[in-house]
Amino acid sequence: MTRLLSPAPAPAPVRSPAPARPAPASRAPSPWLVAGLAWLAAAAAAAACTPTIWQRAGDPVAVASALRRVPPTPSLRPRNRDGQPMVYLVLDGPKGERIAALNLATQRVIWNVRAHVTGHLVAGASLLVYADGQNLVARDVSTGRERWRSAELGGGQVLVGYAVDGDQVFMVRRASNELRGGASEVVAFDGASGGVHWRRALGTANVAAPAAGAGLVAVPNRSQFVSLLDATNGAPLADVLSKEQAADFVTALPEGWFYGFATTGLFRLTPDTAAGVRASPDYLSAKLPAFVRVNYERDTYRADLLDYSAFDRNRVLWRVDVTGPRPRFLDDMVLAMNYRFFFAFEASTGRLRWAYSQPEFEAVSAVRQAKIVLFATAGGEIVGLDPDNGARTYDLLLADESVRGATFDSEGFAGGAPGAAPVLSGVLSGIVRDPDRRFPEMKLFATEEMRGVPGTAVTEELLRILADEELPGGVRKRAGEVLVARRDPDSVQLLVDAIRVHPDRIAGTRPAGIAWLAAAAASLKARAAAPPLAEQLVLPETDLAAAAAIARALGEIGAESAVPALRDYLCQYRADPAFEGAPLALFSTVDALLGLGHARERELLVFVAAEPRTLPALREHIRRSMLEHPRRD
Amino acid sequence: MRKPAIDNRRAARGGPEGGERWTRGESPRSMVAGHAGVSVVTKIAVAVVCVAWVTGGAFGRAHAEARSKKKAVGAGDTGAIELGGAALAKLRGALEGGDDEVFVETVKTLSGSRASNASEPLIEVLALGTTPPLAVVALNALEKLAQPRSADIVLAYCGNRNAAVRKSALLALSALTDPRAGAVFLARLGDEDQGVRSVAAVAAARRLKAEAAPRLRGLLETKDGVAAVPLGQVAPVGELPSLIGLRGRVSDADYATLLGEILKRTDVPDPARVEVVQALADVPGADATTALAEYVADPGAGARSGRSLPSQALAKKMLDERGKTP
Repeated sequence: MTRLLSPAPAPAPVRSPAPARPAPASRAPSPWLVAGLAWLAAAAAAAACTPTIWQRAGDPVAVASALRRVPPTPSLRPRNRDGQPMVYLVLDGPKGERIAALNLATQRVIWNVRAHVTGHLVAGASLLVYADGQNLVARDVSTGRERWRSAELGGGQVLVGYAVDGDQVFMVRRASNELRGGASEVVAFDGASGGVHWRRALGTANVAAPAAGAGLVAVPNRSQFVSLLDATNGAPLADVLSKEQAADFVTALPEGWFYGFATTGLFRLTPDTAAGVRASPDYLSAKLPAFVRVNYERDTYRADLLDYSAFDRNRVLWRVDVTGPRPRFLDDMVLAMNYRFFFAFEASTGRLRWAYSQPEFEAVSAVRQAKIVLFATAGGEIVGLDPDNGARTYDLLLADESVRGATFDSEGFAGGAPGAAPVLSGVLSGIVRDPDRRFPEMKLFATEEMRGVPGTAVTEELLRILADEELPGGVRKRAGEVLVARRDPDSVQLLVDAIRVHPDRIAGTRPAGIAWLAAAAASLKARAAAPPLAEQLVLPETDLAAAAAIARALGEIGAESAVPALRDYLCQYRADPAFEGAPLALFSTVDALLGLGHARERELLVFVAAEPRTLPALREHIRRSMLEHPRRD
Repeated sequence: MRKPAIDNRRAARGGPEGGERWTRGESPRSMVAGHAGVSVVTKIAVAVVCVAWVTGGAFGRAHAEARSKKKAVGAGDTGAIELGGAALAKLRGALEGGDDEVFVETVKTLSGSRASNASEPLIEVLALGTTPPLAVVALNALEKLAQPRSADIVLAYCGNRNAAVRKSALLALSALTDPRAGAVFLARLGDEDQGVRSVAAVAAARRLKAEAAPRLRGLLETKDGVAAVPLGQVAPVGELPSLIGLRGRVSDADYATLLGEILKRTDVPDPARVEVVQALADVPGADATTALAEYVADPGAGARSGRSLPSQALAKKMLDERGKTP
């Protein structure tokens, strides 16, 4: 334990602008150090007589007792004392690093101050707290004035995280690591003065960032535990054990406390989940598609995620409805935030409800609140979306500003009148065709989602995707598969028009995904598509795979009008060695001719099979196919 | 399987509509005849198969010979001589065997014969399909023979996957006067293969004259120089200012070739030539110099108009100035 506190200084607050400096190691031990050592020795002695965390964790009675402090009715209002919907922005760029406070309701920047920020901004009733290197800094939310700055952490110490409850600030720091006998502690600061209210050793260096609210402080520790402390004095109240998965975060929301494993799921903290198992009715995990990076929260054990990072741009946004007999995700919905794109999924089924694409700039921070989804973009735009349909309900641009991160304190804010809800097919297509190449899995997902969206507009979008040669092959292939699978009878004319496009170097035209178009026409038995398909079949530019698909489609459509083209194709190429390595087109032609079932087609095939220059593989295929397709007339 | 032997002349005599060339009631080909829209390749191929398969090879040959004699009486083609049925049958047999050398020799014999029915076995062999090299040989022979009956099969091979085959088919088509040819030439200007485009460009200009200019210009603007000469030959005089404006949008070499070709024409008035020469003079490089030099050296230019042309004098001056330029 001494490693934690010596040679590091005690976290005594020092009023700005003169931050405390650690005492040199060569000096005599400070009174703080002596006091700390004595306190720790006493704590160790007491611990020897009390049950270990392994013994006391998971006690529902203790958890119930601790949770009695939590108000039963969610408070849907901002945390700040004025009750104003605020966003605090970390601004970057040529004007230098700053923090700005913006009132969302009045759309006015309340203050804007220079600051160096290395950790998320956390808002309380009257103060805003953040990390500045090894210091914790508190500013007044009304003015932006720096209230206090904690003493700098000593060498080897790490600021793990911090939380605010009203005007009290809680910090968790650790020294060294668990295997090397490291230790950690929670320190409670007075929000007004920065004075230390209390401190408590956590008995392990394996600790994560705290959460605070309603008189409780919760600290995940030892990977699977969450310790609940009394916010007034740091007294331990209960220990929660996540029995089947790690617990790497705990968070206090208006509707309750939640802990869990960020990439798997979360428990609503209740006496029932004092020992959390996934079978518990208080366990929540949404069904999400594979492309979603499932992160309900950041892994708060990782101090490197303390600052705004890619995690804030690629995560899952959620809230919980606790009014029913068992908790469920609010509106049965979770949002997958993916840089510039938002997908609202039905949590219970994984069905996509709506999608939103933010043009140009990435969203750097977002929050799901009861009535709105708010996010800030790197380009200085603050956007609000209606959780019901993704329509914009709020939009504000901070001109010439670059935003690195944002923290919203705006619970209950609903934005303004909603704009038009985005058309799903258009958004999905826009996502697929977006020039950003970073998200192939997401593009595949967006393409796949068009399968269930009705209307010819989707067919048009799919045809555009097929024609976009800049897109990854996998995405275009998926678009083709979806086009075939949709079987939209209203799309026949669109397919015919697309098939009619002939390759022309001068006009710059090229049929897009002709094989998929053929398959789609076949799935619809679209006779109208047979003549243009027959034309495509005999074009020299039609590749062999496409020719095979066309021949197959013509057979499936049962288009007798295409028989001459099929016979011409077979005759012209039956001896062409270019087909030796890829005879499928000829095989499909044979099958289509046989499928149409006329005597003259069989006679032609008999001849082709017997002719000496016919490719051997084709000859063999004809013989086999003729046996499989007995003569019908 | 016996080798098929047929008389296909009735098919070959048919008009442009493939479906009209077969007469109902002519067993066994009648089974194909009723099929609306049946293409020439198919009809010929199926006819061959039908005869060979249904009637047997010997009968087929006899049948063919009989029909050949009948045809010889009323032959409408312009050949001075006509191959007899026996000779044709022998030649067909040689073409349908598996020996490529024999095939080539037989094709030579047919094309050298200049017989009015010499194209028939070639049409048949193409209709049944063969290897690309042999198809090229057959199409080259059809080009030499230039018999209208070969139009359908030649048109079909203009869309062959093999570029060499397409090229030969276009050349064969350009030897015919079939009215469908122009559209095919224009279409093939957009071909992926430059050799094919080159043949198509020359053929389109020759066949369609000014009508081909828009597509040729389009081709030139895709930076394909094969269009420069044909476009220069057929572009309407009224379009010349627009063509002069192509500078920078096509390579200097192609631009110089285009303008040089315009100067060779007799239908371009001299004021327009002056503009062309001025434009040419601005183009650096050997191609522009060559074009100017050729124009200056063209004795026909002034002679055709009966007086010395200002444009030619200007070209000479420009050429001299180029010579002085280090």
